[in-house]
Amino acid sequence: MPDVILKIEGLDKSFALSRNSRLGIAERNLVVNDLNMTIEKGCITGLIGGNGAGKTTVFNLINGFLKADKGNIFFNRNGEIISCHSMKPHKIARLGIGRMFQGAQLFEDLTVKENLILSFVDPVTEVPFYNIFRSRRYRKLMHDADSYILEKVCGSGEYAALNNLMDVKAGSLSFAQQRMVAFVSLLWGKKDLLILDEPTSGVHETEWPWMGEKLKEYCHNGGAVLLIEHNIEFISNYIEQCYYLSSGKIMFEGLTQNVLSQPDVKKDYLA
Amino acid sequence: MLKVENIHGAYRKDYPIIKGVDILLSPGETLGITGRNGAGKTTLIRAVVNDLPYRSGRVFIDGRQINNLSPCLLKKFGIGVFLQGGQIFPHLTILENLRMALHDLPKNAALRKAAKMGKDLTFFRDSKYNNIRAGNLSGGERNLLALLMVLISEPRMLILDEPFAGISPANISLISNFLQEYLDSHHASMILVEQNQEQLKRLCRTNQVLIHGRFHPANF
Repeated sequence: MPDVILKIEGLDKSFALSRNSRLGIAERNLVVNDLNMTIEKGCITGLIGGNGAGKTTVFNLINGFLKADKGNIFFNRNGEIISCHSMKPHKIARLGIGRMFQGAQLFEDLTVKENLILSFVDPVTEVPFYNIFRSRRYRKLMHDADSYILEKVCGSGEYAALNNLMDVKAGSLSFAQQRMVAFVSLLWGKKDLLILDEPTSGVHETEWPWMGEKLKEYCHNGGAVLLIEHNIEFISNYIEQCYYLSSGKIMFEGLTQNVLSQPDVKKDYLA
Repeated sequence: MLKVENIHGAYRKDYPIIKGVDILLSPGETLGITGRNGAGKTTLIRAVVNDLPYRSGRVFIDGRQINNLSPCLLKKFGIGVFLQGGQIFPHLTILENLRMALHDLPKNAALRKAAKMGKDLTFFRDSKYNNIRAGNLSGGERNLLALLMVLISEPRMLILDEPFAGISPANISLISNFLQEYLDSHHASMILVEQNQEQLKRLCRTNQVLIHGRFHPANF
C-alpha cells in the first residue's frame, strides 16, 4: 500500500441499547457494520450520511476512544504499517492522526496564541522535567513557535480570521471562532492524517473557501484528510472521494459527484 | 408581542459586544438574524434571555417587563429558548427528556403528550425511541431532541440559536417544514439565528445582519 494512509477492514461496533441491558437483557444496537474504507494520501475524503448513521462512531473508532468489536484499522506511517487496534487515543494522536471534534476542544483559560503554541509541542516536552528546568530545547521550541505564529498570523493576511484574537482567552470566543482556532492548530500540528467532524458547522459561509483551500494545500503537501460534513456546497466543491454511510454500512463510495447523484442518496440524504 | 429596547451585552465590562439592538416582534412575525463569526449573534440571544454577566436594556413580553427574570422562568411566559448546541439530559431516555420539558403538566398528561410527539417523529433511527438513552444519540440527533423539547411545550414565542447545526440536509427540510407548520398553526413568532441563508429566506419575514453589535438590513 504505497499511497494508502489509513485502511479500515471489516469494522464492527455495537452499543448496549437501553438501560435494561444492565440487568442482563442483551439488547444491542449494531452502529457500525462491516465497514471497509481506504484513505489515500493527498486526497480529501468525505464521510457523509444522515443523522445517526454512525459517522462520529467511526471517528471514535479510528482515534481510539472506542474499541471495535471486530475488524482492524491500519495506519501507514512513512511506509511502516501499524495496527491501531486497541491502541490508546494519545498514542494514536502521536502516530500522526489529528482530530477535530463536533464541539470546539480548546483550553479555555489559555489565550488563542497559547492554544496555538500547544500544537507545536512535541511529545518529549510533555515530560515534567522539561517544563521545570526549561531546557534549551524547550526554549528554542517556544521561540520558534512564537515567531512562526507572529509571521503567519500577524505578518501575512493568510490567517485573517485569527488576527486581533491572539491575546484573547479561548473560552471567551464565539463557538465558530473557537472552531477556527482548533482548525488552524490541527493544520499546524504536523499530523499525517486529519479527521474532521463537521469543520464548517456553525462557521459563516465567507470562511468556507478559505478552509477548503487550506485543506487542499495541506493535502498537496503530502497530508490526507477525512471529514464528516453536511454542507453540500462544501462537499461538492472540495471533496474528491466520498463514502455514503447509512445505518453503519457503506452504501456507496467513489467520486463525490457520482455518490451524490445516486437515487438512494438523493432520496434519503438530500431530499 | 416581544419588545426589546436598546439592549447592550458583554462578557467583560470593558468590551461591549452588543451595542444597542431593538427588536419588535408581533404575534406571527418571524425575524432572522445572521452575521459573521464572532459578530455577537449568540451573545444577543443570551442578552435577551438574561443569561449574560453584563447587560442593559429592557425586554417586554405583552407589555410586561421581563428583563430581570431568571432565564428558567421564561417558559411560564410562553417563550421557548433553544441555546446553541442544544441542551439535553444525557442519562435519561428520549421519552423522559420530552417529559422533562413538560414538567409543569401532571405526569400522565405529560407522558401522553410526549408519547404522541414521539410517535409523529420520523427523525430518529427506529421506533424504540422511548428506551434509548439520549446520551447514546449522535450529535445531530441530540440537537433534534433539544429542539423538540422546546417545541413540545407549545411556546408562543420561539428563540432559536442555530437549530440546524449538524443536521443532515434531508432532516433540515423535514424540520423546516415542521417549524413552518408549527408557526402557522400556533400563530407563534420566532427569532431564528442561523447561517443557512436558504432556511432564513424560507422561514423568516424580516432578516437582519448583525455587524459589530448592531443590526443592518439583510440584502438577500
